[in-house]
Amino acid sequence: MEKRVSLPLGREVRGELRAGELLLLKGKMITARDQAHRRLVEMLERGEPLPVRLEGETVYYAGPSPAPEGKASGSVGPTTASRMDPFTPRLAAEGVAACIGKGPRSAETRRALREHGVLYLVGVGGAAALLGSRVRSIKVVAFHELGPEAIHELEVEDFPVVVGYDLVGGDVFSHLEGL
Amino acid sequence: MAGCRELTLNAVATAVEELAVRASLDLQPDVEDALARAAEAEASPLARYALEMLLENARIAREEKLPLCQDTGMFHLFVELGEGVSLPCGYREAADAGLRAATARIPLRSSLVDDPLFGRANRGDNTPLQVHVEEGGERGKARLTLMAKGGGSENATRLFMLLPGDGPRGVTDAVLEAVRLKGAQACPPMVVGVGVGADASGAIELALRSLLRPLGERHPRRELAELEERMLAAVNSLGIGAAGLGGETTALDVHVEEAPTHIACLPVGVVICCHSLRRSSTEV
Repeated sequence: MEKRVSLPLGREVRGELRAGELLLLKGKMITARDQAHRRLVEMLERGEPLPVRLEGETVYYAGPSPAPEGKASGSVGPTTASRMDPFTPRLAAEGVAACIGKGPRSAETRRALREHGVLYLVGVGGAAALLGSRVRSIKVVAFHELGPEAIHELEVEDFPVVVGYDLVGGDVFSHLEGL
Repeated sequence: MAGCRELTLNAVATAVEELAVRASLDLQPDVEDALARAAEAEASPLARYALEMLLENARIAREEKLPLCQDTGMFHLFVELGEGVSLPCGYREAADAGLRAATARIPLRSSLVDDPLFGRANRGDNTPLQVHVEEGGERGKARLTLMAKGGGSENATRLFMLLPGDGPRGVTDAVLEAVRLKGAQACPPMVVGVGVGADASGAIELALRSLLRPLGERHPRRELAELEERMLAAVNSLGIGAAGLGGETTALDVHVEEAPTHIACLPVGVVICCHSLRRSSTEV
């Protein structure tokens, strides 16, 4: 019942996926949380080059726990996506292909994601040990001094997510409207 | 005083370290059972997918010794001192040392920052513990209980300064408002702690402490037990569901605790914990 999907996610594949579909991701993604988002957007505003290439990238809202000795990764589940809403439209305009987080997002963010062809994928919040066990390698690639909030590059396999917002207006959280 | 025993600093540090390890890796049976029952009863395929993933997560955490959640949480230490037992000078530092050791040993993500408003520099060791001391329990015994509370669900905390006339209906409406507003972001299925009475800070403290009660156990007062049942049904009828994906399991339980309050007041604290209600307890 889960669809296997390789990263990076091309425009065509993104357009075919529908809200509510279960995916197993394989490939590379980067993490970014609150402080990394703020820094990236501030650098873009100042016209500075970014330490990571955002085009075609999958951005995972997460701050991993350190890898125990002998393990590829620690636990790494999604954090609340709506905290990134103030920064998401700017990063979407840079060509991000998909973002992964937990929970619903603002109407403005939803519009920006759709406009720029960015998929929103939902991870199960708190399934961090399971998600961590699907990480094959992890390393810090930018903002090292932020510790768990640094930008990490992850290589994952069989990494389970649900399509949250697709590119044709589908919304896995539609039942929350008017709550 | 004859027969008075002071805990040693070493006993405090060791107990905190062991409790922090256990709470972070080993989901307590009451929470795991509640998730299993929810998964079995869940009709929505997406919500069931999420609940089954959480059960699998608990298994992997236990077997692989990976933290249940990357969000270490903020650690609370509850100390219950029976008659004739006391804490030594410097027990807070000893408890922090225990937490520091657990953070390095598992290892846990360092999830606390200094200077919340400006620098937000990571502290690196998950200290300080939030310490709550009270007298009670068995004579000659000290009970130490650790709880790790995640930041996502902490952001759903609410305080309502209701008026005495608002009554149980007002409390239910307050709980529903808190869950509606942030429930989908609080890693449901959640556990809702409700503190009724005391003052503003006391209501929040009561709500937090209510999370220590085993899931499925009702308040001993019939009126409050019934209120818990009604509020649980009302929260679950919101349809937020596991991981916010819909279905019938928005909360695993609702706990209410009460305390005397002012004649003019009806404070209601609502403290929500994610499904990863990590706690562990020992006698020292």
